[in-house]
Amino acid sequence: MTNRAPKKRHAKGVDTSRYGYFFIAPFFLIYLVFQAYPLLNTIYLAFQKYMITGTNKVVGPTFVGLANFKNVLVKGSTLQAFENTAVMWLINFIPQILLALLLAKWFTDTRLKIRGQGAFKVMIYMPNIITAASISVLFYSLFAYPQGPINSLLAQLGVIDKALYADSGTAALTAIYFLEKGWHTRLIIAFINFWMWYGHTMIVLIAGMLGISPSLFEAAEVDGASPNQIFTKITLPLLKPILLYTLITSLIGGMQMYDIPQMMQMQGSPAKTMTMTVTMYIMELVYTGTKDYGRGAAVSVLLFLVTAVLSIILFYIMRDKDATRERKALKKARKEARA
Amino acid sequence: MSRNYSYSRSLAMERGVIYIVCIVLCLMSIMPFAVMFVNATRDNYAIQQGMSLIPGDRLLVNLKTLNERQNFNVLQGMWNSLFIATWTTVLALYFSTLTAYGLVVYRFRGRQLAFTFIMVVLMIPTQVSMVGFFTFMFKLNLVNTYIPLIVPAIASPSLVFFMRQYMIAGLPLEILEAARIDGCSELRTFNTIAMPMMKPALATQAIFTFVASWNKLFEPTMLINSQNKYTMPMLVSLLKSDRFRTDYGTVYLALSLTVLPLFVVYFALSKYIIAGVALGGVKE
Amino acid sequence: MKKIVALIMAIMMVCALVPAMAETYTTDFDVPATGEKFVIYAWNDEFKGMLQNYYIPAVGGTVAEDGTMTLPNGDQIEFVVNPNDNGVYQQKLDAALSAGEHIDMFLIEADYALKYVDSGYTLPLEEIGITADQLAKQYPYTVTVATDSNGQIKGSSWQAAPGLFLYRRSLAEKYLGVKSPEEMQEKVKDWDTFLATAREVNEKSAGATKLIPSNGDVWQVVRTVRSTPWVDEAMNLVIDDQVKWYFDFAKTLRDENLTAMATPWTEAWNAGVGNDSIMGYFFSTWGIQWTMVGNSGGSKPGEGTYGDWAAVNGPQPYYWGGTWLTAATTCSNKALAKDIIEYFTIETGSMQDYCLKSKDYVNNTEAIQAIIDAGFSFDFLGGQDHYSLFQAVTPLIDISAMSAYDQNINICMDAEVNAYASGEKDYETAIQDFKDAVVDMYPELTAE
Repeated sequence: MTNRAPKKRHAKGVDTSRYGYFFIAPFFLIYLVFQAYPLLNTIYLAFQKYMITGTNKVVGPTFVGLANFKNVLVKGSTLQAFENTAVMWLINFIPQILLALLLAKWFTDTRLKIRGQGAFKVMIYMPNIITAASISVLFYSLFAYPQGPINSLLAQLGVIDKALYADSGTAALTAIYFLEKGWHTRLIIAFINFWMWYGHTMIVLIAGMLGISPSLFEAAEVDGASPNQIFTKITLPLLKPILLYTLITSLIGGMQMYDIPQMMQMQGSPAKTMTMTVTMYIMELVYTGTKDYGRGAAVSVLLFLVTAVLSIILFYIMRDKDATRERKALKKARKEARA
Repeated sequence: MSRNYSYSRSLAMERGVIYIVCIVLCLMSIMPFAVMFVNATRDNYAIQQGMSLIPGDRLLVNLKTLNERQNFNVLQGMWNSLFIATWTTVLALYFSTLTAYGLVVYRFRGRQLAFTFIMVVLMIPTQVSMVGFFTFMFKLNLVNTYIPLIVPAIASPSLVFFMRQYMIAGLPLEILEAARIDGCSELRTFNTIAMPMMKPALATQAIFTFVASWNKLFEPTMLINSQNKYTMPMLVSLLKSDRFRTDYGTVYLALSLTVLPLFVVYFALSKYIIAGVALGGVKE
Repeated sequence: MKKIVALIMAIMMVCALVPAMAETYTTDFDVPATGEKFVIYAWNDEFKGMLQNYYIPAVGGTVAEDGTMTLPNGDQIEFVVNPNDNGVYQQKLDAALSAGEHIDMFLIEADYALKYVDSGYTLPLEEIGITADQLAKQYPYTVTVATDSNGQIKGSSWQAAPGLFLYRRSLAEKYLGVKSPEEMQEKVKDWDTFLATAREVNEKSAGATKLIPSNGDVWQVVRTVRSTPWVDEAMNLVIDDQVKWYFDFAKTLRDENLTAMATPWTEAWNAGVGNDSIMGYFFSTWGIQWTMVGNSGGSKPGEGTYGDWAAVNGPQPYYWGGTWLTAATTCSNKALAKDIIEYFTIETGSMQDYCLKSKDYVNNTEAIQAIIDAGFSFDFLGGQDHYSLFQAVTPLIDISAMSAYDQNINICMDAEVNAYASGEKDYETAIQDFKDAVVDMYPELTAE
């Protein structure tokens, strides 16, 4: 793995690098045809006043400079939406990656030899194959008020007053109206996301671990390394590229969180203020009431910038020092070749 | 001796904890399916009155109701979804691996820039550009065809990213080098040597891509008009379109039917997740 | 004198129609073929079913096994159905309209009707050959809704949607000692009495039964009887005394625990029709035979709560919902659009036929009167003739408060009224947040 040596090719004088262009061409071609125009359009719109009003009248587009950005940052729910998104993402992602790593470690640990791990792996991913809509209907009923299963359970456990609860009339005073409360709804949304995605993350990590050459583990075992040592000294470092993938895609997916928080909105619930994500806000600007493409695009650009900055930080922290060294070596080799 | 004994005892305890945790997690995973399948056997009234894990006796009635809906052609819907999801998966996987391979194996000018661009694409929220996308598809006369649902999958930035990371972690370049020396063309090296080595990565991503495509609702809804071209999720959402008199027993039955093909695909591919298929035949 | 003539006419008509009722109603069809598909956008299969079961057979067309509709002239009718969920229907309709896609007709609901009536996407009925005189038998409010700011009529509705208060007879007798709808009406004749009755039900049942599901159900009534629309001429958000009154009414209901806190269309709300947790609902025409019957847990008297319900006027005359047919600007066959609109919304004969078979409340005073005169009763309501109540209430409906913004502004207000009622926000904060939310959603509006 570490002895990947592009230098060799150069040494042999066979320069195949131009093939790279052919290999990546289809991606860029299709992207240009289908997505580039809409995308450029978004950036263009961020600087325009352009909307279709509540009575279907078109306003604009007229260039307004940074007015949309100013508007969404000063008024509206942009900052609140960013806060909501960040909070709900962190609450779900930290336990998610930890549990996924732990499970991946258990299932790959040769000493533990977990039986039936095939079945476990398969089942743990299953929540991810149902649509967000079906999942939310389920949780909606679970947390129903006043007599949903969770409230009944809380009454059984004595967390809320059982005697009062039995009398459905005063149930309203003791049962918890989960989906009306900001933090309760936040936690429910975070939990659903956690539960839907830890299996997915685990599978990605296991796939990454399976990519590691078994001979490395064998060698380590022969050298008498403990399973924990193998995990921290061999598995984790070699898993770094896949971990980076998991972190970055979870970050991006988290910042663009939409389905579950949207579906868990009970119409007219005050909890919305604390659970509206950035993407929900964009959708609302662009699709509900006045279709304000200008401000919607401005929030999109802001979301992109925040995601990009956070991703760059992650890339920097997780950067592959070997690759950097290799790149430097390559540069040096090129220089030498030219000289 | 005693050290060995306590070691194996702590090992047994650790195993016990692991089994308990795993079983709890599995139960949590099964729950939504159980509720869904059970509700498919209950009537609307019973479902409204509360959640239950005891099956009802209305499965046949619900099946009959579903069958009588003239718009709900299950087989047609399954076929449409299968067609879209399969092509999406095949195209997305092949071309993403191809792109990632190009980025990892070849050191061409602009390589870093190309990768950065792909990451930028991945980070841009698509909600606003979607409006433009739909208008654009209207202009290209591609509405009511599957092309805008399938072909853009060739440019799947997150898949390219995954494949790239996976290759960086474990694609042995020296084997490719050997193939080249044997006189393999570049594309052939990719098709016959690199692709098979990526099996575990391909299998996992195939599942994810297939599931995501199968469950898509918003885009097909905006793009497809004819009901004989509707996908399964679109048909289910039609069942729910009348909130004034939705028959939830039928909806759950339809949802259960929608999920069944996913099970098949998932279990067929899951052996690659389970079996510990190591990166194809690498001996160092 | 006029009344007597009308009555005689109606009786004659009923007599003429009675023998024909069991058979298929037929009408002439002389729409020239265009060779193009006639495309209709809708959010559910209801109107499609109406065409398949009534219009197509009446004009002598055919409906294939798979639902394809062919007219006698060989043209086909195609439906594009997109659910209302998350606003998908309007999103897709708007995308297609603005891209100039071929649409012949589309359906709109009361909540957002004005958005399309006041736009260039709909044709005035005059342009497809329907005159204002032809709409004389419709309930006037349905015509007003479809009239744009220039006085042109852009749509026509097949149904009127006056609302009533529905209550459970057995629960009313048990907790209120009420034995007849007349007595019940006394208990809910205005909002103060209504509140007192809500307290009585809560107290006598020890909280087991509530008079209404939620404060949102009260708003369903109040929103339509307001005197001022949400938005005034100067595009300013108006928060009138009725809104203030509603905020306080909602808070009282919540503080004293007088509702089941079941938000409209949630599971608990639907389920309440079939169990004893909720005594009464506000519902309009369509809601009774669809939603209530479906949720009652029965299909004939004695099963579930079927037959245990009765209808009264309630505190105020109101309407809820309604669907309008409009011809799109891109309509390729105006004669067909005219024929369909006339069949379902103008001609007494066809509308009466549809009304009797579907139990939908049609938008034709003459047809309804004829049905009432012929004797009407509904076993779900214990044999009551609620059409008489509807017929009396409908002329009182006032839609002066309707605006193109209602749907979304009402959603914005919901969150704030609940935050206020639960004590999370004080009145000033809730109102300020409400204003901010509205201006955020409609930047063209101001809020004082």
